[in-house]
Formats: sequence, C-alpha cells, structure tokens
Amino acid sequence: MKQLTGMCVSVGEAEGVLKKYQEGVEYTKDDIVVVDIWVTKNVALLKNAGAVLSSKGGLTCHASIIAREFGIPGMVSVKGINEIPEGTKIKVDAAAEEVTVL
Amino acid sequence: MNDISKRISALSKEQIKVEVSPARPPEKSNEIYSAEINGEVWVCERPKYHFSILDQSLWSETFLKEGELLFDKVGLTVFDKSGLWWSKQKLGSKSLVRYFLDHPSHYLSAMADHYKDVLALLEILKEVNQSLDDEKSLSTNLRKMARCYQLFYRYPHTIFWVSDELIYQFRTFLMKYLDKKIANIYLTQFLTAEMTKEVISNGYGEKLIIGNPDSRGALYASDTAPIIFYRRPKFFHSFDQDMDIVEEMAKGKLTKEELKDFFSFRMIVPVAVQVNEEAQYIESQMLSSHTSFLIKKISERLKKSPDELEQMSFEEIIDLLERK
Repeated sequence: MKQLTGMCVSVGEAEGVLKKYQEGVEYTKDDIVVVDIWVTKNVALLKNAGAVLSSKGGLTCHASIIAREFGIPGMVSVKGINEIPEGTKIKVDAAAEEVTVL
Repeated sequence: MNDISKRISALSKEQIKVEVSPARPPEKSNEIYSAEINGEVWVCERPKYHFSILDQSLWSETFLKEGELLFDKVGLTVFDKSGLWWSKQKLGSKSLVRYFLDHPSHYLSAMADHYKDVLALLEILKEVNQSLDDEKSLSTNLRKMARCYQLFYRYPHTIFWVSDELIYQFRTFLMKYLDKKIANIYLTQFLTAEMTKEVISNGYGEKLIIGNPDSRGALYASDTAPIIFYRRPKFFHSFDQDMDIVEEMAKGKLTKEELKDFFSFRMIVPVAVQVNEEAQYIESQMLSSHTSFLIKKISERLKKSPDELEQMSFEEIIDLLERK
C-alpha cells in the first residue's frame, strides 16, 4: 500500500474516497477531499467532508485554524497527493501524518 | 524618509540577502530579506506587503514605535521608498521569539495592552460610516479611522511576525521529545481561536472574502461591506494532557533551559495564536472594509479615484476635504 506523508493541521482519522475539490459540491464523511489552494472559503464549504488534504498550505494558515474549529481531519504539504486519481480509496490518520492509499 | 530609509531604499538586489523561512508556506510569503547598514542587520519579514502612502500615513505614528514600547529603543523600524517595512534584527521574528521565551510575562502584558487597544478601536469603529453627508463628516470619519489604525498597530511585530515562528519552534520542540501523534494531538489544541469561533457561529466564514493575498493595505478588502464582530481572546487555557506531557518531557531528559522554554511555550503559544487570528480578522475584514467604504465616499466627493487617494496621505485628503 502506498503511503504519503504531510503535516497535520487538524487531528482525526477518516477513510473514504478521494475527490478533487469542486466549488458548490456538497461533500460527506465518505469523501476525502483534495484542495488545490488552502484558503478559508474552500475549507468552510468542506465542513461535512471526511478529511481535507492539500499539497500546499501551512500549520498556521487561517484555513487550518478553521479546519480545526470544524473538527475536520486535515493535512497540508502532502507530497504526491495531486497525482492520486479521484475515486481511489484512502485512509487518513492526520495526527500520525499518514495518508494510505488502500 | 530618514537616513536609514534612504540607505535601505538604495540597496541593490545583490546587497539584499534572501532567506526562506520554514515557519510559513510559500503561498504566504515566506521570504525574509536582510541587509547590513552601518554594521547593523535590518530585516524585512514581509517583502510582498508594500504599504501605500495612505497606509503609512494612517498607522506609522504607532507602527514604527513598537521598539520603544517593548525595549525603550527608538528607530527600530522604518519604511523604504516602496512601502516595505524594515526593522533592526532585535524586532525580527527569531529574535523576538527568543526574547519572549525568556520573558513570557512581558509577552502576556504586551498582549493585554493590545487587548485594551482593540476594545478601544472597536468602540470608535462603531461610530464610523454612520453619517457621511458632507466634507466635514467625511473628514471626521477619516480621522477616526486613523485613530483606529494607530491603536491597532502598536504591536505589529509581536502580533504578526512572532506567531508563525513561535508555533514552528514549538512544534519542532514537541516533535523532539514526544511521539508524533501525541505531539500533534497536544499541539492542535493550542491552535484554536475564540475569534474564529465567532466567525463560524455567525456564519461569517462563508461570506468573508479573501482579498489580494499579496496585500495588507487599508483597502485590502475593498469588496467587503463594513462589518464588526468580536469575541474576546482567552489568555488562560487548560488542556487535558498537560500533566501527561510534563511527565513525558521530564522522561525526555530536558535540560533546565529546555524545560523553561517548554513552560514559556505553554504560556504564550495559545495567546499568540488567538491574537494573531483576531488581528487578521480585524485588519483584513473590519478596518479594511470600513476604510474602503469611506474612501469610496471620499472618492465620489473629491472626484479622485481610490487609487489616486491611496497615493495621498490621510492628512492631505483631510486638507482637501476641509478646504471645500
């Protein structure tokens, strides 16, 4: 199983299907959403997602703080996440900073 | 411009050293400039944030004097000709973090002082943009906005520069002595802010618009309607794992200095996160939305565009209004 790593910004675990973020889409707990730009607006719309991941962003980004307030497991600087195809089953353990491709 | 401003403004690219800070991601302007002038190192920690003439005139009265507040030293901060602010290394993020780890109570008392300023500026802000019928009222409101900025920017380095570096150093520290999962679970508890809770509970989070990420000027959020919201920060926190962490730290055979640092981090990181987050909302949403609205009204009255007004000081704008 392929494993990626990154930086935890919000703890929690989730397992679901990888989806690339799209404006206006309602996400659920079964969705592990990859956002391209780690900005506040994106995160607020993701409050029902299973987890959010990004290849960018930082621990102290405003959006990271909102992810923590929403209780969304989140990781940033996840190298290689953009190369994982949509629909792939993913497991996230944010505190351990592990993203496992199932 | 004073002598130091002129010298910094005259620096060539080759004379400016560029360092990348690991404390901030690339998207957030993570370069730090430094240069030596008269044997002293000056740093610019936000080389993308160019403040206009209007910006500088609104807040430099206090913005440039933080060195006096903290260390009783004058002339520690200047603007260069492009509107970047430079400070002596003493006010650089690494130096300030080291200083506040050694003097955590100074940090807390400075932030208590800042809290008092925030309460005062919020009271003034409630009066702004209420009645803008004529030149006199526009002028009065602009003076009130200037006062708000002068209150807000008394501790800019402490609020904006310290936070990222402090949290980066704390994370590094925790990762050195704790299991990664335990460190992350503990750390993330520190990284919440009362102001963010206010934003979310009122549904602002989905309405607030992010302006130009490379700007932090007075007209940053020019498309946001004037708004005021606030929830006071928490200065005292209790985390369930505190004593477990202290036990782990003790097992990790920390030196006396490291243990002192841990307790300093423990005291000041939660406050730093909150004042920083709060300040970003106040600056980018509240102050900027009110200033932008007011400048648009002034622009209509004086028949000068907001861009033109940005290149004037607020004193010049007031002079034009009061001469009409």
